[in-house]
Amino acid sequence: MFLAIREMRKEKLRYGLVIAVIALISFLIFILSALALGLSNENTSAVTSWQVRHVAMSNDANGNLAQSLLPQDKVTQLIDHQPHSAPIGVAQTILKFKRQRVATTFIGFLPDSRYGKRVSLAAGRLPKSSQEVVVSEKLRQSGLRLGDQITIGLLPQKLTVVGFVKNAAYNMSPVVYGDLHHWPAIKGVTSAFYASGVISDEPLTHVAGTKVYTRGALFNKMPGYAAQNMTFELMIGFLVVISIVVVAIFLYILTMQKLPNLAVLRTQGIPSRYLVFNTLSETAMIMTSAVVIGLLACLLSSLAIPSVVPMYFNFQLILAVGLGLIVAGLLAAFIPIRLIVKIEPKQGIGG
Amino acid sequence: MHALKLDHVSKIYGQDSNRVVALDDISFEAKQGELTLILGPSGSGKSTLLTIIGGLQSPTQGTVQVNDQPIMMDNRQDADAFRLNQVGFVLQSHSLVPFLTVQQQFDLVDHVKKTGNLNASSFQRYLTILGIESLGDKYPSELSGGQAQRVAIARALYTNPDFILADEPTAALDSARVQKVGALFQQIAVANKKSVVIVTHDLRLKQFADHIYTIEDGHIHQEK
Repeated sequence: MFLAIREMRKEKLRYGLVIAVIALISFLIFILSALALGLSNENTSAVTSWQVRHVAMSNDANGNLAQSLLPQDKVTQLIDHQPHSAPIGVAQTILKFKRQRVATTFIGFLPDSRYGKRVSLAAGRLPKSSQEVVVSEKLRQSGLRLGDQITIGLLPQKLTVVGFVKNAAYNMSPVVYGDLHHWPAIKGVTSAFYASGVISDEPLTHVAGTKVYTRGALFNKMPGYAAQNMTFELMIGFLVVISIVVVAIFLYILTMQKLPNLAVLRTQGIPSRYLVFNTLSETAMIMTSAVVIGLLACLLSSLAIPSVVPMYFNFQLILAVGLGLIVAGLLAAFIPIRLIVKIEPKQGIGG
Repeated sequence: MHALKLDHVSKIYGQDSNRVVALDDISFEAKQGELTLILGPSGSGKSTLLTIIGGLQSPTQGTVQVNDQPIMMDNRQDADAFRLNQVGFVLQSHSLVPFLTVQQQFDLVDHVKKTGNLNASSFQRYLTILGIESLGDKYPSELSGGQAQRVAIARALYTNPDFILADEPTAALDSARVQKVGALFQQIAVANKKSVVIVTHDLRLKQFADHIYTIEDGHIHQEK
């Protein structure tokens, strides 16, 4: 580390430029990770907030809860002897208030449903009657306020907003939580259909004409969810590979430039392992500085990015991405390390 | 008494039609308190001889002994330890690490070799003799050729080695500086009880040598 610190201090511009390039790559990786997580949350945050593990719906819905229609008898069979289960109604529809129209997802629970009570309130209170709803706090940005009257879907009567909820997004739209009994009218289906599905935090028994999905499978069946996640994962993966290549090239060039000096040190009896450890220290310092700068730039940028761009910072993800980049840099250091190990001490003798 | 002894050493590169005899049956001894000069033109085998004396490569035939013990070149760590602890190299170029100040060149030695280096008073004395005591915060790029060479000599002495091996130490120096460097090596040998071996083609150093050998086409002859 002694050599690494002195060299970086002496060659500030050279190492500054190297750090700047890697910081830009790490900035991009952090931004993409935050966007990927933000977009993922826009699909899943509502379901995650209910803490359910299994969802049953009609076979024909192909895993899309919003397309599922279950009659009363199927719901009864699914929840029979399943104390943890509860029916749920999902309808992608338009919310109207004042002169605004917003695409939302209506989610209906029975008034006593345990899952409806698991949502996290940002303001107001939970509904006390079927005429009251709580809505995603994102709808505040559209001008919705506590006490406002709203019309939703094809439901003729107006409902009153009594609370705003955090983490309430489903398949990219803000959620309106209300009474399940309104669901057929909102969706515009006959009262022969009772709910979209049944949710539970315990495994559900299979009933003919229905299919049970795990929470993960439900997410992957959401339209666009898997493709979107895969796209981000590929971009982030490629950027990590690019960062490994860039670090390897920089370290290779830097090591090649000082090879005559390293050969002299080997001639003088400085062990290879000292020079190898020095290169690893140098790499760790470059990568750590670049990752910290990239992260700070990302956090600052997030303040300037419009709130409609969904970015979500998760400490564990940031830590994992940062450490992953540092480890990737250390892996890249094996190319210059190979050069150093191959130095013959007699190379330091000229003539 | 420290002594470095080569006994019937040969170094042969390649085989058959590519066979090159770089050193042919060379024997000589460098003793403590003496300056040994090995003179020869380019391509005579000087550098090969220096690499063998310095434990940087093994001879094809013959033995190299330090204090009557053969140098063990097979083990890389032992060879590194031998060069670090017992040999001080003064090389032609790139001798100093460019991104370390003069003082840091010695700090680096302390990092790698924790014990047995010169104590502060001895080190200061050497710096004064070499006239580089005020250059501690200078980088090699800020030094003249002569100053850099003297720092390299101090660096070689700092580990307090038994042997000083110098490769063309006066290659870039004018006659006045050659006289000073030659006298310095002589002083190091005599006053500090080191065995100094200088490999060079610079005849101006002959006056300082206790023993002079000439090497040509891999053969060595004692001149003095």
